[in-house]
Amino acid sequence: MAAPLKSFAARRALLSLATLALVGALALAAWLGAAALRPVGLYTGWLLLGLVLLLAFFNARKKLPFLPLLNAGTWLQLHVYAGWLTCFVFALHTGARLPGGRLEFLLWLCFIVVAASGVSGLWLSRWLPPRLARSGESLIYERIPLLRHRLETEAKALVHQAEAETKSTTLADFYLRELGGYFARSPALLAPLAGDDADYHRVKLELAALRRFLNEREAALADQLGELLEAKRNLDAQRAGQRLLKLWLFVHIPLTYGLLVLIGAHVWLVLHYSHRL
Amino acid sequence: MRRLLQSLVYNRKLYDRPQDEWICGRAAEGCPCIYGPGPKGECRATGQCLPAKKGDRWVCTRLISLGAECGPGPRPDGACGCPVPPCRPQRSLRAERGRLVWLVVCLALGLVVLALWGTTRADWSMPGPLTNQHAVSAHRCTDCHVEAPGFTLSAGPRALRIRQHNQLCINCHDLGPHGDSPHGVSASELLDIARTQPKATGARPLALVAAQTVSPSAELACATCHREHRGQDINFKRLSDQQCQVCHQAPFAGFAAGHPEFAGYPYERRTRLQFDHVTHLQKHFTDIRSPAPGPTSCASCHEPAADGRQMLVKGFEQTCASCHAGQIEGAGRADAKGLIFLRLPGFDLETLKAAGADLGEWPEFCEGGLTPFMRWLLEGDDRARAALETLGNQNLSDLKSATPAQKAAAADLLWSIKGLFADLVTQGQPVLLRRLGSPPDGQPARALRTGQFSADVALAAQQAWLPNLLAEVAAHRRGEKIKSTAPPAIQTIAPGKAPTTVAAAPDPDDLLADLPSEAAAPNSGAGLPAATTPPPPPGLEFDPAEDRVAAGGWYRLDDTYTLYYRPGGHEDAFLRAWIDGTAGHPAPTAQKIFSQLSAGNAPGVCMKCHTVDRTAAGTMVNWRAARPAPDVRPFTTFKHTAHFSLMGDQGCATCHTIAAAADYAGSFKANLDPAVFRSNFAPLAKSICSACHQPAQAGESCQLCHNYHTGETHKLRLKSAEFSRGLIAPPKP
Repeated sequence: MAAPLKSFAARRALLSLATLALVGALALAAWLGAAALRPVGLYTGWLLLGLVLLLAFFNARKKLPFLPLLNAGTWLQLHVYAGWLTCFVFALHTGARLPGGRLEFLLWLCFIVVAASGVSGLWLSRWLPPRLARSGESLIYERIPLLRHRLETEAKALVHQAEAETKSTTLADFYLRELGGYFARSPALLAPLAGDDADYHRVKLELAALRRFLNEREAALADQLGELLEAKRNLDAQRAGQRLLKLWLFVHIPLTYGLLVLIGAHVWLVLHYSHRL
Repeated sequence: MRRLLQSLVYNRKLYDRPQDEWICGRAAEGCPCIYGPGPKGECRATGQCLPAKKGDRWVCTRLISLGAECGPGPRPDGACGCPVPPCRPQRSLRAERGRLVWLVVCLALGLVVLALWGTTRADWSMPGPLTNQHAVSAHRCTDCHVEAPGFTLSAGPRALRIRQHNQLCINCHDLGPHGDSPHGVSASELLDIARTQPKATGARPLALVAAQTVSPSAELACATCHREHRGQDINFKRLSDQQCQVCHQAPFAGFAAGHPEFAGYPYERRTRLQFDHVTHLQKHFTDIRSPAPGPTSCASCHEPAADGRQMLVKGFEQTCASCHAGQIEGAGRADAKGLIFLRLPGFDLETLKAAGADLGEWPEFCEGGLTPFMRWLLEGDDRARAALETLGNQNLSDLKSATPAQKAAAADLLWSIKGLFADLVTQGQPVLLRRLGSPPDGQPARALRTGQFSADVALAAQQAWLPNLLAEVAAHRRGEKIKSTAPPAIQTIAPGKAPTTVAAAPDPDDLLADLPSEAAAPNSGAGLPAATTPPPPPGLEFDPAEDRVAAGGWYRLDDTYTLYYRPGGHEDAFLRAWIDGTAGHPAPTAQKIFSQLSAGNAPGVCMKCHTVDRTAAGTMVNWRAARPAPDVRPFTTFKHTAHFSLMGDQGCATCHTIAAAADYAGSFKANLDPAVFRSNFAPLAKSICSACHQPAQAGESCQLCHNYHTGETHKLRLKSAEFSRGLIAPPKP
């Protein structure tokens, strides 16, 4: 396990250094260009356009798997570090100032949101997966509803088994009163991530309190129900985390396309009115 | 132990297709249809499997993950024995995101269409607020932009586009003939500056050397420095020091480190008023702190201009008048205090009479030639001008050696003088105005050159000198012959004495000689007694004639047949008008007048202090000391008032030290070029400024002291005339 980590750290250090070197070179070139009365805004504009197109091609690349253009992992690394570089070129291009025009402001805002969502996504993709993996099982997001249904079915089967074997309805009544609702419910979007599992604790406590009214066989089945409760809790946490890992893309990707449209308008205006071509 | 939710058995796993647009509506219940939704989201469910026919019977093919072979088995017709009720397929997460992408793209496209082609296009496409000045003057994009789409990598079209944009700027801001040249000066002037100005010292900054390797393109747009659409209150002229220096051949690190030494700054030309600080401070005012009339400090004579930049010379009354006012008015002059304007010149009457010329009356004892003023006035008459040309340099008082033509010309000239005199008497100032002709552009008005000429003074002179002048001139102009006579004796007014009679040579043929003086000169000498009447009893005495016009005006001296003008003190309009009108005038007569007026002992002594500049723009008399020129933007600017608090015990001498050895007066001897001079003060040393002007103190930005656009700034302003000529389209209402 140590070798890959070292490799990852070395790769990150190397790419970070390369990006910083590029940033420094661009900063120096921009300063020299400005001092030499060169149209630095024009140059950084074209560079920014190229970088944004490169970044946007990452999404297209995933849709064109037949193209022999590096693998997705390499493209992701390129996307991340080119993204940082793009943010710097954007600051150079805008002079780190808030634009005054309406279209320019929309363009600026769009870029900021896309960049911020990208940075957020990068952070989430680094921060959340280890936390989600603590459960010991990596779930596929699309299967989570199925798994919830399966847990609910298993819980029902256990209750039926207890009723059939012990002729007691204690567990069945408890299922109807508490457990059924808990297995059927999906918590609020990000509540499990925020530590909001009060529902789970309440149900578990009530199940524990019920044990004194259970005979030996019912207690064994109640223990199995407790395991299902724990599995449901993990399932809810997995669902919230994975949903978050997917939801930031709902900001990043649509706004990227909106950004490309606005960039097109901006370039058209510049070519139409600028004294520089 | 935590329970695993997913099965690891290969054939128990479900095959997920998250990239599909639709997902089976029963997937969440754990029993998705094996067919899945159609591409348009329709349910294609029939049963849990598609039974396969083996031989003559149907076999269940349900997946192991769904429970493997079912109990009921396929129906006889091959349909699944476990039918699945239809579901309502749901969009996948990716499909939802794709829909959102299209929504955002459509919104952005709609916005762009509205922004670029809508009615509020100008508001949307403007990249930022304009500066206040341009926000007022520019009403459409095309007022400042060449509206033409295109993209090219070739230099020609790009340079053309820059020139087109610059032209739009120049439509309003005229930068002169060299507007596209650095600092608004021609290339040759730039070469001169580079050749003659002191060089920068020290090592070239590495950063600037690097910047110069990517030197600006040959075509520099106005917008390179003046970057618009950045807000209303931005500094539209702000440049970094590196940007200022990138074009310079010898860049330097800073003002203290490497900036060239000042080349004679701030003394870039000789003073407009010849005032020798050395002689005044070290000779006339030996102690600057002594009481009046000497100055007590520099501030006695100098004061800052309203903008605090230039130090001005106070007015004449506050500075020079205490010592020089009397000198200007003629106090203590040994010779005449007035200026000879008109005089009856001496003619060789005997020769002319011998030649048969009819001269009428003319005093025999006239002396002197034509005054320059008379000659100027006579040249305004064709006949007199012809006579003067014929006479050339012939001495009028000795015509014995003259040719007959010159004698005839002399007679003509005599009659021209009489005619001029008669016209002055009878018509007054309009004659002067007519003879002076129209002044060229920039010359003072003719009326000022008349000096408020008094026809009554001329009348009195005529009655005293040539009593029959009016009748004779009238007869001469009718073509009649007038006999040459000597005028009767005239009375001269001597100071402190009664009028005396100047004996005129008796002419036996003079019909008027025997007449009583009242008849000959009915109004002579302001009521003076007639020459032949007995002397009146002693009465009031006359002061000298020139003293009687001590405040300036016209007077005459009968003994020399001369009409004088005495200046009325400082800023005499008559002298100023004639000096302005004749300075640099090519005509010899004008030059004589200028020489007469600018002589060191001339009445008024104007040119003792006031100087004349002759430059390419022409000849100009400096009537005032240097003043702020609101229409001229210098290359170097300095604000005196901002530095007053920094002066040491030496006051102004902290910076302006006297150069006692400099030949200041020599700058004005036979030299009209203001650029050739020696200053009274030593050139300012850069170290005086750099003591404070360092990065950490008062700053050393180039723009702190220098302007880029130099020259006449009225050209930098809006050319309102361009609007009226239609070169700039008026804004739409």
